[in-house]
Amino acid sequence: MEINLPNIIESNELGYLSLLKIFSICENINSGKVFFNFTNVKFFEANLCAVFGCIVEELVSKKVECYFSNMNTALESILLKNGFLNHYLKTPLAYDVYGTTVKYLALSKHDPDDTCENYILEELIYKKNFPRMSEELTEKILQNIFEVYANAKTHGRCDIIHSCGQFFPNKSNKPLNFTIVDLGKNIKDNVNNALNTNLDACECIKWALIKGNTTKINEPGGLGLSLIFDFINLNKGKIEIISSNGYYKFNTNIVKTRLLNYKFPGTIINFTFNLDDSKSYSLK
Amino acid sequence: MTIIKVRDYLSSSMAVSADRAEKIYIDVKKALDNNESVEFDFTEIKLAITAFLNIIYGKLYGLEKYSEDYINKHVKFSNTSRSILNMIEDVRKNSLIYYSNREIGNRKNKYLNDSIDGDI
Repeated sequence: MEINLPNIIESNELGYLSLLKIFSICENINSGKVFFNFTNVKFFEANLCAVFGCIVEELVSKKVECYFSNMNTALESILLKNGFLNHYLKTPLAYDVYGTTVKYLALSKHDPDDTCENYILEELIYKKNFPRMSEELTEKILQNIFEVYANAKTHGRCDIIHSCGQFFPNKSNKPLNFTIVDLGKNIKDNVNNALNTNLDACECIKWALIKGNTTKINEPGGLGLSLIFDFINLNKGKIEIISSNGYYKFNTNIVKTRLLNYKFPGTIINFTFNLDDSKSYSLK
Repeated sequence: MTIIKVRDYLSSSMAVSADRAEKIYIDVKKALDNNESVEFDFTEIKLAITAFLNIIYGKLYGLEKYSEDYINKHVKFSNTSRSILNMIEDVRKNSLIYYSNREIGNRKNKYLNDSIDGDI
């Protein structure tokens, strides 16, 4: 089977819709070969390798053979630098001269805790070409990322958490995109089960983001993301959450939600951090 | 007084691992059960997340054996950065709200014993 990828895949509603559509096609493939045809792809935001990796991993787990064809050299080069192609094709890693990639990681639940910590330090903090960030900004970015990892790892009921990033030093604000994907139970199912309701995916995401709301029992939770939002707002960054068929975006204090035509069984979280930020944070 | 040196449980100066937090929680509970006070020493800890603090500290308020006052009086923190201290206070407040509603919540959500977190 051949799957043609669209010409632009970036971190926005349309980009996620395209990837969810591909995921839903692949959900129904249980054997044989899949050829991902990149002929039309002009731009693929490399952090979305986290989502694409999730798609490929699902197929591989069903012993479906995956092939990538007709990738343009620029994209191939990026995906060799960020380790995505190397992960699946066992080709050598390419050296990232400009240091703008953040490597693709498929974190297994069996990996030791240090794997994730070392990955974040090496990929986000010790990168020599990243702008020098204040200690406060660094701390806040790390907190955001680790809060999401902690939730996915502890409660996600998934075998693998996929993550990948990309830094765009030539864009205004010098954005860093970082995407974390898990195939655990999605927010819609969790919230509706917890509340015994039948809310749509967007309503469920909004409920889960309210400070203190949690579907956990016997222990408290529900603080991590409320703190993230305060920071994203100050940093003028962006957070996007896709769970089931819900799309949720928060930036510059504006929330946008949309029900998509395709569903994702787990949760995708994409951060866009503004690294050109010299503000001081109160760390509250 | 049992002093829990958080750094000794971790592989780095980042208090982010739920697994390691669980180990701390076990030791803290043991100390409380032995009628000892506990002091969390955050020396060398540069970063913490609420998911970690919920486990080592927030959960203590759910122990039926101990009142809120008892935990307040017998659990202390030292050498915390201002940001970690702020988070500890957030976690404490959140736990008190959570546990004050726990019975109602549990009745509503019986199935949830093995459920995952709804807060992503």
